[in-house]
Amino acid sequence: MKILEIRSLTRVLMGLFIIVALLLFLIPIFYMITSAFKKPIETFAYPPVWIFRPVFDNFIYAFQKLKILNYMRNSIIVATTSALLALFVAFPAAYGLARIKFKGRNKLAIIFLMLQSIPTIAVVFAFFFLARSLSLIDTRILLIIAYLYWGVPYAIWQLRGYIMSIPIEIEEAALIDGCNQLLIPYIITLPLITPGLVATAILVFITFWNEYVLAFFLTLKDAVTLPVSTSLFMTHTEILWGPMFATATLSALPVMVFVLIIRKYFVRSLTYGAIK
Amino acid sequence: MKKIIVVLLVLLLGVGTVFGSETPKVIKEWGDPVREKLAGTEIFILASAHPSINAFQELTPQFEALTGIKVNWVIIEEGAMYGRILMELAAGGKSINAMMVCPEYLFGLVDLDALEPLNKYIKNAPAWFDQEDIFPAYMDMLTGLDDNVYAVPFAGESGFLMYRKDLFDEYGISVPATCDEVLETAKFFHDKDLNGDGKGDIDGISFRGRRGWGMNWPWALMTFPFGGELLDPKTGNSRFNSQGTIDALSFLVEAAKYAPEGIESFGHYEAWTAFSMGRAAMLIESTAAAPLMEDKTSSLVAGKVGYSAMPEGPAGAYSGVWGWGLGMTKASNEKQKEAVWALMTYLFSREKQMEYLANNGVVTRVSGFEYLEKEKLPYLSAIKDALAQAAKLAKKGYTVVPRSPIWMEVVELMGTYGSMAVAGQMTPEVAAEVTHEMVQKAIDNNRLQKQK
Amino acid sequence: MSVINNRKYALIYIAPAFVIVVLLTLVPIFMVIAMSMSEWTYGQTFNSSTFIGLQNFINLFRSKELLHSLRLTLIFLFTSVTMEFFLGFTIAYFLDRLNMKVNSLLLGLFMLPMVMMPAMVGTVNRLFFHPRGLVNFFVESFIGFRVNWYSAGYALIAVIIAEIWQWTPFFILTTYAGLQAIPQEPIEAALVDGAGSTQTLFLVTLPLLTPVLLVSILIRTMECLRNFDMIFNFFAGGPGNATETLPINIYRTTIYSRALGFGSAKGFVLIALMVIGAIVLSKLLIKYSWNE
Repeated sequence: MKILEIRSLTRVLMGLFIIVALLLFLIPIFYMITSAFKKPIETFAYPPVWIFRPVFDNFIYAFQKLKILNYMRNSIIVATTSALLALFVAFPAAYGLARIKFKGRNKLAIIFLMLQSIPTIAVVFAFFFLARSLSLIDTRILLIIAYLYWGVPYAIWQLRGYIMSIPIEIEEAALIDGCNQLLIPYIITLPLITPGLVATAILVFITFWNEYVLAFFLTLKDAVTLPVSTSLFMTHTEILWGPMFATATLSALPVMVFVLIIRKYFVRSLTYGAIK
Repeated sequence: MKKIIVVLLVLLLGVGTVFGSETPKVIKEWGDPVREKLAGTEIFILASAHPSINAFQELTPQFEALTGIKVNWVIIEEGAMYGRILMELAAGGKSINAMMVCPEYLFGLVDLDALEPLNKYIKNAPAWFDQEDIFPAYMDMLTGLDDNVYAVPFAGESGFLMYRKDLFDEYGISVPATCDEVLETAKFFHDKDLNGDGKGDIDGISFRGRRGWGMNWPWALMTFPFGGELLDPKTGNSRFNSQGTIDALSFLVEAAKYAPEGIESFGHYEAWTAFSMGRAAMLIESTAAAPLMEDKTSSLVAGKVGYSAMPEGPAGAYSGVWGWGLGMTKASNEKQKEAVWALMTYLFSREKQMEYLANNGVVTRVSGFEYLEKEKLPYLSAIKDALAQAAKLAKKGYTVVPRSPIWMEVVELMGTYGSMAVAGQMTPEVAAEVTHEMVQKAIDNNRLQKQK
Repeated sequence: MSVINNRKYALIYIAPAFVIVVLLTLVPIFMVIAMSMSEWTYGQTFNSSTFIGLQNFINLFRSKELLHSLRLTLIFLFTSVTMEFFLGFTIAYFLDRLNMKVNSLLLGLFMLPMVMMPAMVGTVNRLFFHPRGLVNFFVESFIGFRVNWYSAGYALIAVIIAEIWQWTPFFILTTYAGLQAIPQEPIEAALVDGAGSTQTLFLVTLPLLTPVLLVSILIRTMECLRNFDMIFNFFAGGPGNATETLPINIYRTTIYSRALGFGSAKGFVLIALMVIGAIVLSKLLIKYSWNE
């Protein structure tokens, strides 16, 4: 329940700021989406063309000639599975690092950080060899597992931050009430950091969705994901802006859907009051 | 009378069968034994998105039906292809059976012993393949000094000058024949106000100024008209400090003054669109750009373009050849190699050239050229002239892409320092000198490596 | 009293994650270290390359290009992350205060730039920042003349703008989630006690948010240091070397100069930078975490 009443003028100013910011961020996106419906000659026009007759050629081209649907399917499978796996493994680890005081806790946390900071270019080479010897090249499983090297530490650090924002007293109270020690993170803490969890899930998913280097080197034709397919638009003679914008529009869709579905979890947890 | 009609009908039928049938008998005769031997073999070809590759992909189903070989085209971006090839090779190279190569990286790959020489395959090719029909200049650029053919070319290009015929006519400008005239004409059109509204509407000339796979192209092209050298053909050492090479860069830096803004970051996309959107009066670029300039759906200047061979520099007028071909990976097994060769025979043959051209493939054969001439395309005679200029250069013992195993590194260096000169970060003299130093260092390093 | 401090549980919680990550990264780490101590190029197998100890690193210090790349990388990093942070925080804070029903929808819209592939953002910005492109259309409308983004003087700025555009939403998202997650009682208590909203912000809200903010800055810093796809597709390090940050320099060394050893050594410098940044920020995190 909000006690503070914000003065109307301040509200208006804040609102204006947000609208202007939103416009700045969205104008390029709007331009890209509309350009997906333009003919090539209109893409390069200067001053830019705002009013035109939309055509669907670019989308048709992307689906038929470039077979974008396959890449989308691969991206969805890989990104979703890997993100879920990463969170599943990272949450307990984040909890352990956030709450439990043990010797070397900070050092361990930093080790996780260091492991994550290896530039992908270095890692991909080794993965390539390993995958080759296990005959896993060009499989979705390979990507799902490979992505974890970055995803798990990343999620651990994000979640750790959110967990540390929750006062420990709540968990201690639950413990006193007789709640099982091992279940506390899942029953008490998890619901409280739901916004943070959701935010992390989104970020991890988006990163996997857009991951390029590993996907590029570890796939050939079966497991090719959407980012790698962008090379199809850069031909020798021209950049196929139309189909590229069409694909960009299409690849933003699953993420938007995902966000819209889970947006209600972004609201403050209603269980707060219940503890007191 | 009746007899004559019958004979005519039979003849017509016979002729009809030959022309109307899907697969000529000759090809089927070739195809059947191939099918027996290689049906079920799967091959992977690494290539980038190129109109010719698109054409080949259109023709692939017929090939697969004929021979039972499964063909997988792995398409990746041109800029990243080199890195990918190197990774594949460093890891044993068995997952790719053929790769798209250009002369710039061919010799590096040859040095890594990655490619199988194709001479023995070509010698035994069926008559309908007709290797002689491929432009000799294109075959040559993919042949090593040891006379081994490492790749079969499927898309060739040279460099020439494109200009706005309509504007030249309007202002009474004649087509520049020398490099100095090019600069004068560029100056004339610099920031020219065409419609009297007080604002400049067009600029003089467009070309690539971008670093990376960019301005090394015009620099290499212009070096020879100015009498310079890139690498010494005999010793392989750097000749980037030769006066002609420096002058070529100075020419480009000067021309950049009369180019649309942003020239220092123009890759070939931007360079081409500057011209096709009517923002530059001239374009020194690859012949591959010509069909796009005439395409009404994406070019504003279609029908207004004039084409001419390269302008003459102090040392004469020269052009060069570049292009793409397909090379066979050495690490593949016998069956895969045979399958790759079967694919090359089919797709690159004279027999299939017409269909390939109909699918927008780039012309690489004399017969293809003759076929196109019937279409009366405006740029064909200029291309012919440019090829002649390139031949002239070859006769002198030079190529715009020297046969050096480290040429990709040189390209990157040329692109970096040349681009700095165009961007005004250093003078052409200094840029050429630094390039010379760095290139020589790279050459020496490579030699040291070889000795180990 | 706090059984939560029981160390045995730590093992159970952390082990799975630790095992997975270490397995996936141990081999590559050793490879990078080994590679950076050798002189290796393509065409040799690693076994036949020469071991040269720390020579690569010594050469690094002599390299002028490396210094230039380092300088550019740091400028890029500090400018981008700082601006992203302030802009992102402000937007998230305002959204939180306004507490409108459409907040989650707006949040979703704000995330669109992040959803784009960095490689595509680079390519598309090549079009947008063209002297006759979308950006200059607006610049010209407001200022009256066009800026040559393609020139050596402005290219880095263009790259920074592109980066800020794409990643400010990251801060919006994490900050907003943080604001939603922190307990409201201290804030409400302060306001009841008569504190103004600005005071509340700085004295109550921010301290509560510090862990989340620091982590976000940390993560964004590391990702920004790694940025390759976007800059590569945008300017490829040019014009000249105006946008050649460290990752691009590494790519050039490894692929074009084919010096896998030297390139790995440079990669090491990048990792070192990231680790330093990480350690600094995480020490801050530990210091300011209020529930220690």
